[in-house]
Amino acid sequence: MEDDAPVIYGLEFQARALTPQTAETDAIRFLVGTQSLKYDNQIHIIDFDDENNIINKNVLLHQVGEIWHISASPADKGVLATCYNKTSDSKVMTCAAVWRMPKELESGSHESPDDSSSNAQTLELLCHLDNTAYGNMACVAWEPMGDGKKLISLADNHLLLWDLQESSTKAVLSGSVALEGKGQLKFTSGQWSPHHNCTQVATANDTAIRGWDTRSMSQIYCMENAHGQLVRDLDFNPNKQYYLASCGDDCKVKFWDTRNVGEPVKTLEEHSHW
Amino acid sequence: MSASAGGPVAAPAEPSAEAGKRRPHGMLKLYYGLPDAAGEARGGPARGDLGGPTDINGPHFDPEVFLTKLRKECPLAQLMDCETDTVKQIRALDSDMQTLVYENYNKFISATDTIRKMKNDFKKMEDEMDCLATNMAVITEFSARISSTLQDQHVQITKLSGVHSLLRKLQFLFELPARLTKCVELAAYGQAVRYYGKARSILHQYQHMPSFQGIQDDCQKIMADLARRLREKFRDGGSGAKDLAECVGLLLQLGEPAEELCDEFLAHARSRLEAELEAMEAELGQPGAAGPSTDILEFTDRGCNSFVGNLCLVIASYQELFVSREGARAIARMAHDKLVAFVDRLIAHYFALVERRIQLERGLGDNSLLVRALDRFHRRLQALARLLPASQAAAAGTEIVVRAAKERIRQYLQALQSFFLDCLTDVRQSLAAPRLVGKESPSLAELLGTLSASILNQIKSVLAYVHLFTAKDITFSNKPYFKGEFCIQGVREGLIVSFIKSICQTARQFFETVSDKGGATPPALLLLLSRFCLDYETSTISYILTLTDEQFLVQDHSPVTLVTVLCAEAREAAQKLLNHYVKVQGLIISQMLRKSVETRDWISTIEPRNVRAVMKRVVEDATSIDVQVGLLYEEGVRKAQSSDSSKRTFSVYSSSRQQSRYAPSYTPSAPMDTNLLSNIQKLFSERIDIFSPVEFNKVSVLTGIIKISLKTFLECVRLRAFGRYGLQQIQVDCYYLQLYLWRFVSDENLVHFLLDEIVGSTAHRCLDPVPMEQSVIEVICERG
Repeated sequence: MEDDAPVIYGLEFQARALTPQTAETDAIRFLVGTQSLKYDNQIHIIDFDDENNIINKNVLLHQVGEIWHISASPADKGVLATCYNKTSDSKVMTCAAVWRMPKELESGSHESPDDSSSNAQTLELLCHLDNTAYGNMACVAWEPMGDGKKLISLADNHLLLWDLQESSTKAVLSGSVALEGKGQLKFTSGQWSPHHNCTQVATANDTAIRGWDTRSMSQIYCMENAHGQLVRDLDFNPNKQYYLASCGDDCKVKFWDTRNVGEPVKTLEEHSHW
Repeated sequence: MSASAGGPVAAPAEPSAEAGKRRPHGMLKLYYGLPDAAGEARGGPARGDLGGPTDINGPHFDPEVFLTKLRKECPLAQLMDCETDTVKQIRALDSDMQTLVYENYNKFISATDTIRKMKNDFKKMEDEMDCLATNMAVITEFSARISSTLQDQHVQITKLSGVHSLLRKLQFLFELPARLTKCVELAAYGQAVRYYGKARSILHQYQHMPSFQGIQDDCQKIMADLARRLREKFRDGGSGAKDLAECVGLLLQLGEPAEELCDEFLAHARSRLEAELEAMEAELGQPGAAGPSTDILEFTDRGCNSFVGNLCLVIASYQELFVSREGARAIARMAHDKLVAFVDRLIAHYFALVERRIQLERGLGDNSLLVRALDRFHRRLQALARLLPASQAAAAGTEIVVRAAKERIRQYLQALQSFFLDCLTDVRQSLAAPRLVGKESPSLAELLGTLSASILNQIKSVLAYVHLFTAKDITFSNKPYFKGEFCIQGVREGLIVSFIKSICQTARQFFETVSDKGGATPPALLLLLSRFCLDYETSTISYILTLTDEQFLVQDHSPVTLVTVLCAEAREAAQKLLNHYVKVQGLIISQMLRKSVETRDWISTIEPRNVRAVMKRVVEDATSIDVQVGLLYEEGVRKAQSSDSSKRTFSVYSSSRQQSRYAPSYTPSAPMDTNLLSNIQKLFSERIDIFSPVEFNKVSVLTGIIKISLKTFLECVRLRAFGRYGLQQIQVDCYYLQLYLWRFVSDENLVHFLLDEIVGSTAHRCLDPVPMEQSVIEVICERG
């Protein structure tokens, strides 16, 4: 790979959401959601052929709004969830929904015609994650090792746990917990730990990182001021069950051991920019 | 003719007369040892025949041959002449001889008289000598008679005097028990032992005789009693060392076993010394109880004077008694070993006490008492070591001193550290206090000055205290440890370098541990500390180290921490503190901006009439930070700019730059590739390092803070969607920031670029991007 030329893929619009399709075990596939306020947004299905060092793409239309977060079902490679902006004249509301992509795209084997926009296919809506009572959705995450029936979403200061029923056409809120505190607290990012039978979720709000137990829906650990500035994102180590990495607007990357949250295990400060 | 006739007649007689005369002449000549010179003077006709029988003066003259020769050779006339001449000579000779005979005759007569007189005198003398000899004989006879008479009496006297002395001895012996008893009663033990010592051998010799046996038994009984008393006295302990020594001496003389005595002596000395030690221990008090009642000098003095002094006395008397005494060779070795063991044990106890006392010495002020106490302690031990070179006491004592010095340095280091922390707390309080009271706060520069000065003073005074350890009049200061290691490893490395390092360490704590836990540290303190560390880097460290090296003239050259290393550390700390200050201040401002962006509903907002209050607040904060930093740091370098910089760039901002950036969003049909490429290019060409290290000047610090703030603003904007008026509000806000922020930064283009980016991104995130007229923006901003 090192000798190969870098593979660059250009998008029409700005994009902020990217996820690997973990249910697809044969190919290397990513989903990218675009952000455009004025035009129809798209989901790009990008297949990377590492033998030939080329990229194949398919484009799906995502007409409901610009995509802020995207995640693919770990069980069904045709199913994905997005957080998107629903824009009306007076206000912007971020919602979340579960979608199914057209059957023929699931395999991702064939190349769509050159003019993608003319021939773009549309996603099929499976269900909405109803957030009217909770506020803007910031993030959705599937249970990593599960059967694709459980997911969490972060809405303002709420952590919501959903059960998908009737082949994902109905989402039932099975649990929720609210973040209490002074000021307007808002989750920015969340991640489901693949360890401990998938009972732990980590979330970020402002400069803090919190861990939650999905069984009791209660906080299990908290790193106040994990970063000097806003925590941008976090992720678990798939191979080491207690390890967590986070990055923040202070340009640092930190590694944490969730059993000992007082100090990061390691801090990288090589960046001076984000 | 008669003469001539007579001549020849007489002539034959002549040779015989001549010969007769010749012989006595020869004898005389022989007597005087003279050469025969007469013939030579006269010679005459016979000159040619010198020494021959014809030479009339020669020794072999033969009158016959001469006459014959004359008669044969000479004519008559000549014969006549010769005869006349000869007669003349004979007559002259005869007269000469007569004269001589008369002269000598006189002398001879007087000599004869003298001899006769001598003969008479000798006869008289002989008579006297005879008389003397007779007298002498008489005297001799008398003397012999007297000595033979006295012989008997002399023998008797000798015998009597022998008997007398024997009797005296016997009397002494018989009286001995009584005397001994009396001596014992009078406690004149020395006398008693002397008496007994005199009599002991005799008693021993004659012990087979019953009477002597009795005396010996009595004496032994008394002496046993004496020994018992001595031992009692010995054990009793009431007496001083001198008495004790006397006791032991007496006991040894009495032939008590030396080893036992050594033991007993030592045991006794131990009990007394231990009593002293216990007194000292009591003075120390229980561990953990309140501090000791006396100061350390007094304590050591007491220890030295009573304990060490007595110990020395014991050692000295012991050595006198057991080791170096005449005839003690046999036990010297054993006794010496016992002594060393004894001394080492006691000294160990003593040292333990001294160490405990030294450990109690925690007062961090003046060191002189401790040093003087240690000095005294050490000095006394030297004396002890001289007395008993085999003991380890001196070395162990030096060890204690060294340990105390090390401990002291450690305490001073701690004191310095806590002093530093206290200073920081003070600074923190004075930074916090004015806000409560509202009065004029002391400026940061003043605080920094006070902090530096007080810490430097503290270091100096600590150095002075520590310096006491190496003063010339202190005995242990010339030990190798105090000459080398103490200065290098102890003071320089252990104290000064460690302190500087701990300053850096403390400084580091402010950004390492506290940093992410929020604003526990006031930013001003960070700034102050940063400047403090920087000052250390530039001057103070080298000053302190030079001072140290001067005060502690370093003799050995073991590796030391270099000034540059410390400076680098201090500089790093200063740098990181300043970076952290920038981050903290940046965070404060960016939090305000973030809140202001996140909490507002940008879509349904009304048309802008004013600059938002938060922007004014940002400018105010930036100004106050500018003032704060300006108190401690220099201005720094700016890129050249004109005074109307805000106006000039305004046009650029509003027209060309802004337009070019807006273009893609207005015309989405524009080719994607160019947009992408330009974006990528922008990413690299105009990249701004947000959290880059700042330089040590005001402009750089402010630039850093503003970069962080504006970057956060930008990122927040990108997460929102805006309505038309939302965009216009952002335009107004950014223009306002543009007007005021440029003056703080090193490169105003940076501000312009970031603000452009913000407005550009807002426009991009706008549902209805209709920008506000530039003139309106200006009016709004100028209105306030």
